[in-house]
Amino acid sequence: MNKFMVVTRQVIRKNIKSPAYLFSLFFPVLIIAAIALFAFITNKTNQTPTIAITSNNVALRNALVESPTHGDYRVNKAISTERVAEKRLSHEKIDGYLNVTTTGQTVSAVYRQRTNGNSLDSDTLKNNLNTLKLRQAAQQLGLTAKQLQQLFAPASYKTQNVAYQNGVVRRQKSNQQGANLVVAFVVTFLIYMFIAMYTSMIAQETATEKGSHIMEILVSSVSPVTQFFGKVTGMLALIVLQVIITGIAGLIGMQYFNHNISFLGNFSFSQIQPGMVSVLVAYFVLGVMLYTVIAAMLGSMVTRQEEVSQALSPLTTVGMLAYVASFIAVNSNSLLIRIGSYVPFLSQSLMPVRYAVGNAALSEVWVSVAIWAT
Amino acid sequence: MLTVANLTKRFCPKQGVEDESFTIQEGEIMGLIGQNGAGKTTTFRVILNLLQPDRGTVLWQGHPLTKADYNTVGFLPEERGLYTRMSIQDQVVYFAALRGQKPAVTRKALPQWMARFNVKGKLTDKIRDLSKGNQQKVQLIATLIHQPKLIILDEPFSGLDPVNAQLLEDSIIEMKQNGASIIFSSHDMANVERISDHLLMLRNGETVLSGTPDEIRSQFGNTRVRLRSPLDRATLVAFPGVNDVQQRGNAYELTLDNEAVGHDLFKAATSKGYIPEFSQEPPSLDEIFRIEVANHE
Repeated sequence: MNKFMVVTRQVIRKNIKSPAYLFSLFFPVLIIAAIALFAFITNKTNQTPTIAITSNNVALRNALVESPTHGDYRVNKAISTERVAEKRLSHEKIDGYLNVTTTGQTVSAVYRQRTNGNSLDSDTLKNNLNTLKLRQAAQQLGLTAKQLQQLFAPASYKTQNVAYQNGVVRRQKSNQQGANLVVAFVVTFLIYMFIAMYTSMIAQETATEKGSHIMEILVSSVSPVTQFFGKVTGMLALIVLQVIITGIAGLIGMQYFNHNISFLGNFSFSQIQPGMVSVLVAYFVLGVMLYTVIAAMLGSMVTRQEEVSQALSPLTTVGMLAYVASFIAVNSNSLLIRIGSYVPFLSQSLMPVRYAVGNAALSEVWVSVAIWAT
Repeated sequence: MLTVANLTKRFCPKQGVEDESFTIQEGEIMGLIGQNGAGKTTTFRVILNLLQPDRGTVLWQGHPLTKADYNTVGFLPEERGLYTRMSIQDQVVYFAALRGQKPAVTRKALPQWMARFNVKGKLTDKIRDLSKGNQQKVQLIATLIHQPKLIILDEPFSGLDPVNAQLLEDSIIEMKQNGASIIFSSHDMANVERISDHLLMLRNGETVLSGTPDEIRSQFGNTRVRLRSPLDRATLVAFPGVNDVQQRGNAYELTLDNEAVGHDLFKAATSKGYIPEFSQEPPSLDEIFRIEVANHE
């Protein structure tokens, strides 16, 4: 086995076994699990109500019973008369019942519910009833289904956000900007989190070795260059592992909570502007790598573990400033922000946000990445 | 074979080493002695390529030590250098792997080494849970387990009790019999005298003594006598040619002007027949060390 691999494997093995790292690795999973548990408990206590539907119009009642419920309620189909429904309600077998009365053209409905039962979100039920009533009226007026559709088709309404770049309008769909911004925020946060975590991890690691005479043994076993890059590679492998676990946890969480959280329900990956993903990946890789390498160098400059945080503080401060500035960059395109988005150590937080809100073109992004890479 | 020729490495006046030369053959042990700051650790660091010498050369098997030779080196630093949160096994396996030994080989050999050095602890115990002496032993095992050909031990005996020091001496002798070239430093002259084939004493970076222990001691002449006889203290103090008389229990330790005084002393002591003890020897290394330090001050 070559020594580069020995060092790399060692870094991975050692950290995988450390409780602190494991905790941070599975932290997102824990969060998701905690939210899932919370959602589960609230769902348990607030179950779908079971209702009965009764009417003097049997055809209407049967149609309403068969209408889609969208999970808002469950219909006990066996109960068809008001007398039975009232009895069942008093025995707390059902949460409520809807009594629909049709007199000529008029349709009136009364929903009777127990105050101690599960409450009904009545929108779906109302819609279903209205649809049936309209269909009935349309039939009486002799309208076809197509005519009916035409009659009720809503007017189209859209919002367009525009940004001007050197006098040229750049167009972005409004939902695109929203999705972009969400993703940009999530990724810049992740970049910041990873930087904060891994810089201290690798700096600790190098400082420990230097502080206790381990370095003398290591340097007389492998060349310092092999040693250094073996360490950094090991760290990057850990980062990739964490990205994968965080990503999976995030995706599962989004799938699971799509229905529960309206914000996520409106979010879709297809809305993200093309190019956004590659921009984010590029900044993530560059940002985390640069910070990790610099942190390893800073760590190797101090001789005691206690000095590590001191040596790292300029680096972490810069990372934090960039992160904070990324919030400003959402609403401001000032010169300072624009310059910052080209400067390595800052641009990983600023440029994705600027690109997301449409203040920077893709070409500008690649210029900034190129500056970084050199 | 390790050849160090005219090695000079100065940090500031009186620090580092000056014009140091020695050779260690295969199967030979060299002891490096000297006060704190005499240049012992500097010598080791230059040999290991951790420091570049100002002048002079270090040759291992006839060429400068390179990356390719790292696997044949075993180095014990003066202070402990272990990852305190790692288990004994992981630690030793890792250091051995860095010296090119496969983990499986190390894992197989480790229990024997643990037993040999009488390490108190299981393979899965964390280093930080071990006593200082046991940590030292683990460090030694990590230094020797890959059967190095060039062994450099900086103060290997420090922190070991006499029983464990003996275990270490035995291991060093065994490594020597396997053909390793060994160099070590120590403050304990008894260890040095027992196992060294060659001795080098440094003072402020300068070589003040060099040779086999016997050679060095005989330079100082057979001027030390240990005596148990009917002669009393007053007689001994007054005896011509006796410089110093120290009582040690019921024996006396005398310092003579020259070797010949011993003959007269023996005659006087045995004039009434049997005596239980008379031994005439050169000064011990310990004493020579102190004499040399005093001479150069």
